[in-house]
Amino acid sequence: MVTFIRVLAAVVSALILVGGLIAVAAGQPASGLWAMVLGGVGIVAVTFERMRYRSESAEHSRADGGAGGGEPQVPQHPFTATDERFLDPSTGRMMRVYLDPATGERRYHAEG
Amino acid sequence: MAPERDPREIRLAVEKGGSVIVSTAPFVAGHRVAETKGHVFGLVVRSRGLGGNIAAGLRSLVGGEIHEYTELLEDTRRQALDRMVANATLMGADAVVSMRFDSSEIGSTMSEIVAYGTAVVLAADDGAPQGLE
Repeated sequence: MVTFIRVLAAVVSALILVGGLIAVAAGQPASGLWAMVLGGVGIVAVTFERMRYRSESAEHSRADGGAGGGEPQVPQHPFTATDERFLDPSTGRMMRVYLDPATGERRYHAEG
Repeated sequence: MAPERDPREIRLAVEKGGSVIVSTAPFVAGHRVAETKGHVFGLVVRSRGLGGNIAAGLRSLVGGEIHEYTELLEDTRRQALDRMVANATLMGADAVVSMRFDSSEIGSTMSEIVAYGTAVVLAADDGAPQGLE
């Protein structure tokens, strides 16, 4: 549903932007610029919208999350699997927590 | 720059399953607190974004679970916990006891969650008395 809403919001924002351009061209600069700003903000917001939290590192690199918002692949050394597991409420996937013992950084990966 | 951790502390963490134990109780079964490092917390503020907020608003019209906000709060708690554990590790702790979550909202669309507790160093002790809440 979110994907559909995002596409719809992007289309509506683009239409508002185009409408603003037309209004400016037709000699209505005040309302045209306002519509262009509104449409532009909408497009930027939808384009850069963050979906799931994956890890602190991924937050900085803006990498997409895998199943359940976790890592797409099993985390490798120095990450070690822990006994901590939980169900991701939105996907129902069982998530296992991995930890780098030296830094305390945690990663998540969907199992099963 | 992060201080070097004592290799014995890292080994202890690995022996315990590579995990920093996070306990909501003020004790960890089979262990005694050998050293209290101090309070530790992880704080984060997250928002769902334009598409998610619109979808959540539409879903609230028909009722039921608002999956977009469930996802937001689940992710926010994960990130707060991650930051708390990283901070505890930085302090040389191998466990956090009496951990709690606290939450509030900022500007009606942003969720603030803090995970906090007491960072400690544990020592294995089967006969250690278990504390009371």
